[in-house]
Amino acid sequence: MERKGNDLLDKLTGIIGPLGKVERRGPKRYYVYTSSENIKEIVNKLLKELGDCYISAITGVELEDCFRVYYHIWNFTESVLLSIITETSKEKPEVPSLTDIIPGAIFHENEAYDLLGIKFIGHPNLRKNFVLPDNSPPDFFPLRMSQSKRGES
Amino acid sequence: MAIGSYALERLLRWARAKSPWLLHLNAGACCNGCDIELVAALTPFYDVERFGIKLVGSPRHADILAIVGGVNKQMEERVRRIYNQMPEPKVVIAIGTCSVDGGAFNGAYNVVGGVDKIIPVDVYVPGCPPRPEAIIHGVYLALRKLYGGDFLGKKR
Amino acid sequence: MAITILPFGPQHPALAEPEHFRFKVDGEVIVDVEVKIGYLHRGMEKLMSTKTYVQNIYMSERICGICNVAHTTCYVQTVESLAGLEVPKRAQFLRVVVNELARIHSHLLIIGLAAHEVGFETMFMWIWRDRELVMRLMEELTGNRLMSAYNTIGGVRRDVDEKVISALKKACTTLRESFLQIRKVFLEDPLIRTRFVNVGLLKSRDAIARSAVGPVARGSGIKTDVRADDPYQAYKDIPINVVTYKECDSWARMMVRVDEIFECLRLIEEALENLPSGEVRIPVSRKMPEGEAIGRVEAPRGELLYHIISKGGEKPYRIKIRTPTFSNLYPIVATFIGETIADIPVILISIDPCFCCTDRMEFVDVNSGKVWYMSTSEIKRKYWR
Repeated sequence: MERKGNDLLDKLTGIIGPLGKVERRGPKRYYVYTSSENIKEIVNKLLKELGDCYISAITGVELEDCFRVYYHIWNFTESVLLSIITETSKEKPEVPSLTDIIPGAIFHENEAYDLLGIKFIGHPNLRKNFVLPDNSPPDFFPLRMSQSKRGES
Repeated sequence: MAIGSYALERLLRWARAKSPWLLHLNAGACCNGCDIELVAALTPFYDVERFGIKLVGSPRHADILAIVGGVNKQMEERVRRIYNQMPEPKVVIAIGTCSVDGGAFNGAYNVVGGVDKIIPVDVYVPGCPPRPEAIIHGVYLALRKLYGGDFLGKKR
Repeated sequence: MAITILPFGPQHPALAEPEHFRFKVDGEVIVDVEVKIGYLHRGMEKLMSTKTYVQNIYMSERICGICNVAHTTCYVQTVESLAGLEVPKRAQFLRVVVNELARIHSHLLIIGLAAHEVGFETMFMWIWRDRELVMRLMEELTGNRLMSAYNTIGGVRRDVDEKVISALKKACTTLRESFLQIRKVFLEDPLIRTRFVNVGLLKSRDAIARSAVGPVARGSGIKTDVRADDPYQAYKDIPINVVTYKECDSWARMMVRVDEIFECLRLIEEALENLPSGEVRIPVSRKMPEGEAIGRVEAPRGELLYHIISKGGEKPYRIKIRTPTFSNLYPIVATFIGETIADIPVILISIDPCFCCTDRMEFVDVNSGKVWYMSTSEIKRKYWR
């Protein structure tokens, strides 16, 4: 069960420490802002200190000046959804893959790569046209803002 | 065989209309709603099996192709291929608004549109999703087409 | 024996959407699986970001026709938390009723199809007859059999009257008796037990690591349910019992669904018993403030997640939708390894796939390069003993 909001916030801040900034966004919703090189360390620490987690989703979004990636991770012991947020440049969108820590991330990462073109470094089998049709061009990323609604760039 | 060829043709037509085999295909841009309404039409409450209709798994065996959903880019070629695999005579039923003209998914990047952009369609069943009664009526219209007239007792 | 590649799909059976699996088989035994999803990809996330919040209620409903109520509940709930709205209590209770009704219909559908997959046609027809009763209740409550459009931002569209409440209560009693019979069949029938027990084992550790959700995780003994862990709507007021089975096989996953139906009936009865009076809907502005919100709902197939990013105005900037089958696909893909070809439909149906591609398969013989097709019914005929 969730403890009092601030109590858990302190605990999470204690676990993550200087690696990222923790923010409470509502009941059972916490955001962790960090840079891309710290993600693996944070997830490792969370798994060790908090116990079992599974990956709920990965959101990729294109903003004006960068790509933002959200790793939504649900923790069983504290019953809390942690969204680890990182940003990566538009020229070379690359973030580390979580597949060696949580294997369940494999399809989520592949989908984000297919639709947005964010590369996950360390992913065992990053395929283009995973959800898109087989004959779509390799540089077609429909969720980017430069793509029009119909898909013609 | 000149003698009796008319009788043979009548026999074939009668046999086709009395035991049409139906292939159910989801063309991609679909939400599943029409799929389950089509299956519901096969179950005891509605029961299209009283027309002798049987759901088959292979296009090679089918007389009626029941397509649900609009066509998306991945399924486009496959829909055409499945249609070509079916033996003549064949009837295509487009079930649901999406298969009639793309419906709610019009404008999405992976959606081509209605089924009639890819293959000829004989019967349209609109609705989102159509009720099983409407699907049964669509099947009845398809059977009429297969028979070449009204087969429920009336003269052609 | 030489290894053969056995592509599976994209065209399919009784129910189902197209999906493509490529099995590498050594004789009868599967040694590797490759998945190609996207035969149903429409580009909903992009499409939804070009429509207004109100239009998107209808779009979210058309992501999946079977769990449309869960999708609208999740969408509407996420938008409400984005706008900071508090929905009237009566509407929250009615949402529970309609969600549980939809869960019963979805579970019955998949239990029926599971019976159909193993060739138990009587059971299939029997279950779908009961399901029709649930569909009629849905129609009475919401106005449509399937695409109900019941949830709306700020509440629900229709209030219930005494007539509907008594019809629902009466139906709950009838359905419970009927489901007791179904449960008995699933517990004891040798046909069901031989096909389901010890097929497609997914150990608890693997289920957590591979991020399984919903009945798949619960069938592996993990006590996870969004309704209990992260209560939304009136689930805060009506405590639920999470059904878990420790067997970890296909049978356990089906039994979780069978037992959950009783839980659904109890929830409906309890929600109707404690239905508060008052409004069912509050007026809402068309424009939403800037911000982000994450909504989670327990759909019939597991956890459903919506993540909406708003930059203000009438349209969302980005909507991320993670459907339960997408999460459950990877855990189940690994369980195919070591099983035989004849078990493929059973394992697939046990995750309640939102696509079930089990009808036509394409066989490729690596040595000769020859391709041939086979439907599930043929596979059944060939491999049944």
